[in-house]
Amino acid sequence: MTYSDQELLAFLNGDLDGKRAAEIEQTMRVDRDLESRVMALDPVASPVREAMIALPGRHILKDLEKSAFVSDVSAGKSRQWLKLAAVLVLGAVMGGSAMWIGRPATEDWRGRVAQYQSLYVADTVRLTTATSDVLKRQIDAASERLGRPLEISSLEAPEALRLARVQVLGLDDAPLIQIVYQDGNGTPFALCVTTAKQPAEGDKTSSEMLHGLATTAWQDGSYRFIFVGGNDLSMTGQVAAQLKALL
Amino acid sequence: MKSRSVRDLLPRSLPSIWRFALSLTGDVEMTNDLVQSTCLRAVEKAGQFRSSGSFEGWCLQICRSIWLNELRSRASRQDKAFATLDVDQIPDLAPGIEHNLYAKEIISRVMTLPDAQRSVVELVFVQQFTYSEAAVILDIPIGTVMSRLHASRRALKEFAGVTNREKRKEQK
Repeated sequence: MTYSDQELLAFLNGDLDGKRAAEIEQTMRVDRDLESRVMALDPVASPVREAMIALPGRHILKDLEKSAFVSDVSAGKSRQWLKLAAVLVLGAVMGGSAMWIGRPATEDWRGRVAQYQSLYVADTVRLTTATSDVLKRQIDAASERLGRPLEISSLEAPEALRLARVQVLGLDDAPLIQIVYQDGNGTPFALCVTTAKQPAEGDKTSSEMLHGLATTAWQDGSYRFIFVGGNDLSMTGQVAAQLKALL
Repeated sequence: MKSRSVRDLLPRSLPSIWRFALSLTGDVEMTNDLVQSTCLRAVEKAGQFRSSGSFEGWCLQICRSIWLNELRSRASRQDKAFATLDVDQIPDLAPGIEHNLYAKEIISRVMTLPDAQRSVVELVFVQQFTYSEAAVILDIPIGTVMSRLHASRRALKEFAGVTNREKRKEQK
């Protein structure tokens, strides 16, 4: 089937009769050359592209480039872009297989989790909150990877926190399950669970500030847990005690 | 793909992700936040990207997915709808463009389109994805892409065939 430029322009302008227009649409689905021809003929595309390509503006692009390529981010930049810079720069520096926290490091695992969590801001959680159906699937997948059941009723137990999402990360070749919460003020929190090389002897729970965040960590048999977020060690201690009793 | 590779590819794709995010949100601040979340998610989900596909297309799918979650969340909180973007909200446009009223006029008009039309305009007109690629990114039938483009063309028809360069010549 062949179409003249005039006919294709009429199609683009919506001036072609319905049957012929439908035929062109149908043909384009299997004929990439026709699709390219139609796109090239589009009289509106070029002016719009030329105008829109000016975005993002210089100011934003400068932030984007700094975030992407480096490093020298000055103190006056917004917190959001500092976070993005941190993500991209950490990546460039550390590399690794699953996540940057998956790369063996000299720092204690709790510090590495806290460092990752410190990248989270209110909007990170707000924009990535899962629906209840998705959340259930995320929990099922995480339980399977971890080899230990995680019950949604237990995870939802902390009253002051809203369960936002669950995802599987990696830490030293072991799965690390991150269960993300947010409090009423938007502050992000997370419960992270991973496996331990050695089973725990006795009950060792420790609370300390790491990378500016309050953390409470404990071990239960072959699983290590850490609750991290905010700057109130008594709060992380209380939530950790509640979760420890339920999980 | 490894997360390292994704992080290497992200910088080049940031302008495209930013423009697509703007087409979804219609708001500069929300766009910046959405780009940040998209980058975080892309790094986290690096293992799911197949190098045979379009990296940018994959990032834009992530961007759209995060935005849909945000819309659902806003709906459940009964937040107010977003205001239409004033083009002067956008910090300094690219060199040579800031004084080009014609370009500003086009951007303003694009930003007044319904968000569903804006996103196909961005993908097909600006980023030059094919209709079928745009359909995959937006998870809609190709016929819907076509009908949204038809509606957009009608709204933008006064700019048809006149580029900035031609407009500048015309003004001289």
